[in-house]
Amino acid sequence: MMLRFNWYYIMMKLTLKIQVAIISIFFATSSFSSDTILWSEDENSVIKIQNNNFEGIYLKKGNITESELIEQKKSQPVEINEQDIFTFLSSIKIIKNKSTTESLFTEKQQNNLAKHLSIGLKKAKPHQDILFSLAKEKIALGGLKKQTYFIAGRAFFNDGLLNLIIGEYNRLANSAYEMAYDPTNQGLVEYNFNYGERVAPKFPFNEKIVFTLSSVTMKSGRTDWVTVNVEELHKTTLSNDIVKKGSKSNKDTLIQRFKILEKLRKEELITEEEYQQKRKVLLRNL
Amino acid sequence: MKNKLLVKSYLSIAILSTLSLNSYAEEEKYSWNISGWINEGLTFYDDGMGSDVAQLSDNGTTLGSRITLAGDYKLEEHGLDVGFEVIIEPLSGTPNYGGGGHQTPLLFANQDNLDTFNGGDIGLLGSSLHIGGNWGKVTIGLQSLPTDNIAVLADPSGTIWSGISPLFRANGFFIRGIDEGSTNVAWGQFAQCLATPGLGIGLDCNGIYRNGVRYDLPKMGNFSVAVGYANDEIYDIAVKYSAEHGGFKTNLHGGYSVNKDGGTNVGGDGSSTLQFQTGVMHLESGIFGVATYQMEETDDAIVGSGDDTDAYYFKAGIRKQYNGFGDSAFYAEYASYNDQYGMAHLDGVVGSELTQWGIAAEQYFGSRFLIYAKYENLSLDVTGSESAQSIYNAAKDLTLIQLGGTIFF
Repeated sequence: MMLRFNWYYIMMKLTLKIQVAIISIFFATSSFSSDTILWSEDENSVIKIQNNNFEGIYLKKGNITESELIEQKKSQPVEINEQDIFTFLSSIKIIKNKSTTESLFTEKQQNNLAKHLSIGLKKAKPHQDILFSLAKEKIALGGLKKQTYFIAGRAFFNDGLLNLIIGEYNRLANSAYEMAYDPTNQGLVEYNFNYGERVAPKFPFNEKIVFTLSSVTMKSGRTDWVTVNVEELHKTTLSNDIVKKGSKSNKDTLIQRFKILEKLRKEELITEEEYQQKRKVLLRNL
Repeated sequence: MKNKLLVKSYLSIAILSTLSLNSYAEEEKYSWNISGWINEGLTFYDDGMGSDVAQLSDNGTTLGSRITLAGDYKLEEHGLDVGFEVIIEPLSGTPNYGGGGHQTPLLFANQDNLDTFNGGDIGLLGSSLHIGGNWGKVTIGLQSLPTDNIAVLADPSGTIWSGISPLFRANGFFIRGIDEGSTNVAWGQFAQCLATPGLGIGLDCNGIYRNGVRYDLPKMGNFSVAVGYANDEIYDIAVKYSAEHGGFKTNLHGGYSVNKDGGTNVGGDGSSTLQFQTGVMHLESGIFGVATYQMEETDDAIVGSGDDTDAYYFKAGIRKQYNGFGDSAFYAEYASYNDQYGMAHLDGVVGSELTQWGIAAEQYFGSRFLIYAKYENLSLDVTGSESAQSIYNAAKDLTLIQLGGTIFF
């Protein structure tokens, strides 16, 4: 009887310890996933590296090694210039109506995403993607109404192409919902974003988009998948730089001309009429 | 004519001033926001003796229509954020248990609704001021205290506008079929909270806005902790855990509150309430589950009264996008509210179980609008003296079919 009691007592203690250990491990571990956070502002504005469950399947099954995958797919890790990525992102426009377009990403988002995609693509493995969810704010009703919108998607490099899949665009943050869930606004509400899929989804992003770069195209049969040839993109960025530098020197010359014209008038070497005529010509060249 | 012009001019100046004031405020790191939701629905009820359709504007104060005005001011040089929040609800008043007299408020609309009732008052739900920094956040005023919604918001599916653990409907419908002398006993009589005497919602028992002070500690990894004090001698602490593990979103909320004046509905000196809710959702498949537990007790209560109670609530379902409108959700729920009979011991009741089960479907349209349909059933089982048995054991089930919609702004 005594033995049975001790046995029972020991088992109870052991079970309790195992339970405490399991619970401790569960809660002490921030995450079991292989996510690498590249940037994060809050729970919902994040850029991270995550397994894509696509190439990863081949790796898991042992059908292919990581180096073979890199070779075969010409995939990540890869070095892509931040400026090139910025040029690519800023070239994507949403058609609002017949005469107006809107950038898919805001300028702030373009800068942020370009910077971290460039870093992330260097770090990411061939079976990984870079996932992003970014916020933008719109103020309405003369400042009385603030509304947050999210864009979410994924990017990866394959076969010389930088790929961007848009999961969702202009998803509205439900501030009323956030207030109910998180009354003291601690950022406890985490949205389940749709980051897009490599396998065609049932309900893809399907806003009409256009590009200001010829090297950017839609993947055939998809409305949510944009690709750009990185080599061509780099050439475009370089030529853009040359054009910018050129236009800068033109602007410098123009400023000089204005100054000379101003000086000529002050020293009364030209008449007021001549000054105005010449000024108009210079203004037209701006 | 001149007066009209004058009024128009003044109005224009006022509007322009408001607009320019806000632009200026924006530059000064000051921001405003108006948000909220409107929740309206139709309910078909069958109480076992009769049936009808009632227009219900709310499903309880937790998720009832509300308009929130909030403002924040960043004092960057001091590393502080200050702000305010005012929440108004288009409802107020007390239930029309008496079957006549004052009008039934929208909150607990029931089968006794008067056909002359065409509107409600505007009620103040909350009004608070907060100051925060790296050290956390202190909120003072009429507000949601830490253990409010502990038994509600760990639900990771967000399908809370149609189904939550507190039994708000319990106050809106009378139990039919019972002894004629007790015809105006509402279902809420068997879902009595000790932490908030008179509140017959069964779960989330410290779940009303109270005047008090709340301190939210800085978020620690996946944990957040808050403590609160409210009038009159109500203390509470809540711990929330939220994380994603291997494709599963996991929430775990725990809360403990002590109300030194709670339990007075059963003659107690004070009451304590312990609540837990856990919710898990598989993000890829959208399958989710929620489990809730609450225990309440009060000391020195009248012998035989419902002074030691517990309640459970379970929900399981799926939320996934099946069509171009947005997510769809389907779920089933089951709840058991035990020994929350309060002063029904005067009828000889020594134990009670109010059981609720339901099934529901929701369709979201983006993130601004949702519609839902729900079927639910309430039943009562009591133990006690012969007198109690004769009064309550003939109670008819209550069946509700609700069609509703919620729009967020």
